[in-house]
Amino acid sequence: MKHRLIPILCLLLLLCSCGSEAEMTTPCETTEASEITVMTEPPAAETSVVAATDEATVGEDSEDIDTEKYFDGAVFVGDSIMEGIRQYVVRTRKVQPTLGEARFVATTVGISLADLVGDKAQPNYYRYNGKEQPIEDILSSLDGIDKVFLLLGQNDLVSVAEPSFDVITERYLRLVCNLQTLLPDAEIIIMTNPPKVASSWLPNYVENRSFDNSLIDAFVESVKEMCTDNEIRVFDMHSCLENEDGILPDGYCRDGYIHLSDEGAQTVVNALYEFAKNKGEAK
Amino acid sequence: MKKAFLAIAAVLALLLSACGEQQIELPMPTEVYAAIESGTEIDGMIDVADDFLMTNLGIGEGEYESAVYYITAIGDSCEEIIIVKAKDESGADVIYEKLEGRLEYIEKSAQNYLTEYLPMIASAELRRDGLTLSLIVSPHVEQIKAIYESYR
Repeated sequence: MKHRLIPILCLLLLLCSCGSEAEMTTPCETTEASEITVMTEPPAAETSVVAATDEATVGEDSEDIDTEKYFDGAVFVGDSIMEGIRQYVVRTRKVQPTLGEARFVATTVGISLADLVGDKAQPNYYRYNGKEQPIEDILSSLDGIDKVFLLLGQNDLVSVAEPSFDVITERYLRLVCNLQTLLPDAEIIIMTNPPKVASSWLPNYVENRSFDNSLIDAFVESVKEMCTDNEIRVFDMHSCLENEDGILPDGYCRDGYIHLSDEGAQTVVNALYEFAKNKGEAK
Repeated sequence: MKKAFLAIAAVLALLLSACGEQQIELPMPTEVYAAIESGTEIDGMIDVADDFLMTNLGIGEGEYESAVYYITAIGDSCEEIIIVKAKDESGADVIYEKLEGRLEYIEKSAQNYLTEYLPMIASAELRRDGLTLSLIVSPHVEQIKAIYESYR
C-alpha cells in the first residue's frame, strides 16, 4: 500500500510546484515599468519635498561646487538631533545636491558620549548597515573620510539629574582622541548643541528636570573652552539656531523640546555651507 | 483500503493548503506602494530606498529584486513603509530578519525619542507574502493590511 502512495504523493507535489510557478510569474511580468519608477520620485512626494525646501538657499551661489566637495569626505556623527538633520539631508538630496556626499552615523536610541567612550556597562551602539557596532568599527569601514563632525553630549546632559560638565567634556575629549588615533588624516570638528525652545516643558524621558537653556548655554561654553584648549575646530550650531533671546525658535523645532524641524535642519545646513566657504575659520 | 484513501485525501489536503500559501506572490513593491497610496489617506511620503535600505538595514542592492522605503517627506517621525522583494527564499529569510531588527530598533528608539509614536509602533505590521517582505509602521496600518489581504 505504501508503494502505491509514493507515486501519488510525488505527482501531487509536482502539480503544486507547477501551479506555484505560474502564479508567481503572472503579477510580476507586468511590473518592469514600475521597477524603473522605483528610482524616480512619486509625484506627490516630490511636491512635498520641494515645498519643504523651496525657501532653501542651500548652496545656491557660485561656490556650489567647492562647498559640495568640502563635504564629500565628511561623516556626521551624532544623536537624535543629528538624525533629524540626516533625514532632512537625505530627502533634500532627491531634489538638489546637499552637503556633497557626506555620510551620516546617527541614532535615535539616546546615545551619549558615555556610551561611545566605554563609560557604561551596557552601552548603546549605533546601528549601521543593519547591525549594532562601535563607532570605531563603523568609521573604519568607511572610505575616504577627511572630516568627522560630532554632535553629542545632549544625552549626557539630560540622562542624569546633576550632570558634571567636566566629566562630559572629558568624555568628549577622549572620544576626539580615540577618533583622531583611528583617523589620523581626518579633521575632527565639534558641533555645539542646539538651544531648546522657550517652553519649560520636558519629555518624560528627560531625567534632568532642570534641563533648560541656561544649562545648555553653560555647557556649550564649556565645550568651546575644551575645544580651544585642545585646538579642536568648532562649528557653532548653537549660535546659528538661537534667536535674539538665545532660544530655539518654535519654527525650528519639531517636538516642542529640542529636536529640529526641517526649517531648523535647513538653517543648520545653510550654516554648514557658510562654514565650508570659510574653510571652517569662523570658530 | 478505505483507510488508505482517507490517508491520501488528508495528504492531498495538506499539500494543497501548503501550496496555496506559497502561491501568493505580490506585485512589485512599487505597485504595492501605489495601491497603498491610492487606497489610504497616506500622503507626502518619499522613497529613500537608495540610501536607507543599506544604512538602516544593511540590505545592499544585490540582495533584492526590487524595493521601496518610504518615510515622511517633511519632518521626522517613526512612519516607515518598507517593501522588499527578495530574489529567492533564502534571501527572503535574511531580509525578514533584517526587518525584524529594524522594528526592534524603532521600538527601542521610541523609548527616548518620538515617544508619541509608541502606539503606532506597537501596531506595526511585519509580514512575509511569498518573496515580498514588508514592514509597515503607519497610522494607516489597518487599511494597509486590508490592501495586502486583497491580493490573496
